[in-house]
Amino acid sequence: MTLAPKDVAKVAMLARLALSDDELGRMTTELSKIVGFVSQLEELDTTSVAPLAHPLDTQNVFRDDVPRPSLTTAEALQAAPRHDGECFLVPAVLGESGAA
Amino acid sequence: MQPAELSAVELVAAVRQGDLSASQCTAAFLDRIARLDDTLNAFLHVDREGALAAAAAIDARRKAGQPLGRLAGLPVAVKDALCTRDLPTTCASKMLAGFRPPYDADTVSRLRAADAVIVGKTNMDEFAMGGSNENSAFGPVKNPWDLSRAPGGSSGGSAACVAADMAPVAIGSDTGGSIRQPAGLCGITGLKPTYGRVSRRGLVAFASSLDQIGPMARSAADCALVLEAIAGHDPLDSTSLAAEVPRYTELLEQPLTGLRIGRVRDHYAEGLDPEVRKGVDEAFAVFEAAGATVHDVELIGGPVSATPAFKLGEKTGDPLAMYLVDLYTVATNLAGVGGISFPCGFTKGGLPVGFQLQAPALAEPLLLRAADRFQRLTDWHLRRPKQIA
Repeated sequence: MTLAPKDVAKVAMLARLALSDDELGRMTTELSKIVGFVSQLEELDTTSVAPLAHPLDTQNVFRDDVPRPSLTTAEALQAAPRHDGECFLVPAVLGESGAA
Repeated sequence: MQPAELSAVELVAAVRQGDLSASQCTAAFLDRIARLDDTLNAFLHVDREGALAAAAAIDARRKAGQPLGRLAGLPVAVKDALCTRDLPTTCASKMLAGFRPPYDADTVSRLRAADAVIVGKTNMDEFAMGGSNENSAFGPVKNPWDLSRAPGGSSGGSAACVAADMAPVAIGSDTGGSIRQPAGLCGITGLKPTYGRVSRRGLVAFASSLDQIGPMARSAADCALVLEAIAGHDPLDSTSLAAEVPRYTELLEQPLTGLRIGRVRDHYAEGLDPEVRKGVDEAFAVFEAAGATVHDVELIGGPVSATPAFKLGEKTGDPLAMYLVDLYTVATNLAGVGGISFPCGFTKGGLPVGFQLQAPALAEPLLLRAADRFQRLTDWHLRRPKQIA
């Protein structure tokens, strides 16, 4: 299986990575090698194998909803590049032109 | 005896008995870091002041007759993927430059509660993505056995700092081999516990259903000491296991008589370096001499990686080759079980060869006991790199 440059360009767009034409070419070659290697798994017959979400048998884990000490607002915001004292401030990602 | 020549078990005993103060012990390792790390680049941040203050507080409490934790005075280096309160945590990425977490990872809290001394944060592949440390935004770590070679990764800084005696113990994380593979390439012992045995809270996630924190040290006995302190249920990590934490250090004594160790034929496929193969075959013979039998299986044994430490730059142009450095280790993570790697020989060129054991879920006592027994019968784990005095 090989990837086309347009496939890699789409992944780069989703990851918000700006690739030059040279980088797009190199990434297409390198990613194709890895995807090709992994695609050997498709040769396995898994029709009689039950789907498995995780090998260990931990099921849903619940605990009592008891209030307890936690970070203060100031501590939680301490490393934020931008905040208004109560909330993190981040660039809009929905609705504004060019940001989606 | 210099502190750097002692095992973690011996250091903790020396501090407890008053033969060595926590301050002397911490200073000795900080001095080695100051002397060696310009060459090795294993640390991204060294907290000399904080470590010496923590050690002095332990000494004061000892003098006052107050009880001390089980790791009292033991210097520990922590992979930069674990959050450390008020200390930089960057995952070797410039994206997190200047980030000082407002809380400690569960593992770091437990280390501090046990009176271990955090000496600094170790270099790694950026966000743990890599198998050689060459993806660090702050330059690669050098392998102490050969400075032109990679230490492996992603916990390469943790592996190199133990191999060079810059800390007796380091904490790593393992998503596809990131504790065991660098431990193998640097000639130290590294344990990836069962998934959920150690809380992941405060470990910057790579692949949440595979990530697991574990100890890296000179020997299995030292790993057992540290695992006892960091394992256990964390109500704030819903994937952490509720199973009781065994006294790993006390379970090492039992002999291996009758233990069945499996050898995987597929491990001997094309690409396995003949010197690695030789070291691994000799390790099986050691286990047989210790009373184990080799066939199928309570434990699976085999190589950690197909080759010894590779040259820096050798695989950076071939991402598939780099991907395959975790070939022998990644199955452990997918199965959610535990594995340990430890040195089982050296190549003619003087590079460590690693042996790996894998066991069912929560069989850490068996992994540690088997590796410890091996290390009572061999001295590979006690060899020190000559380039680093």
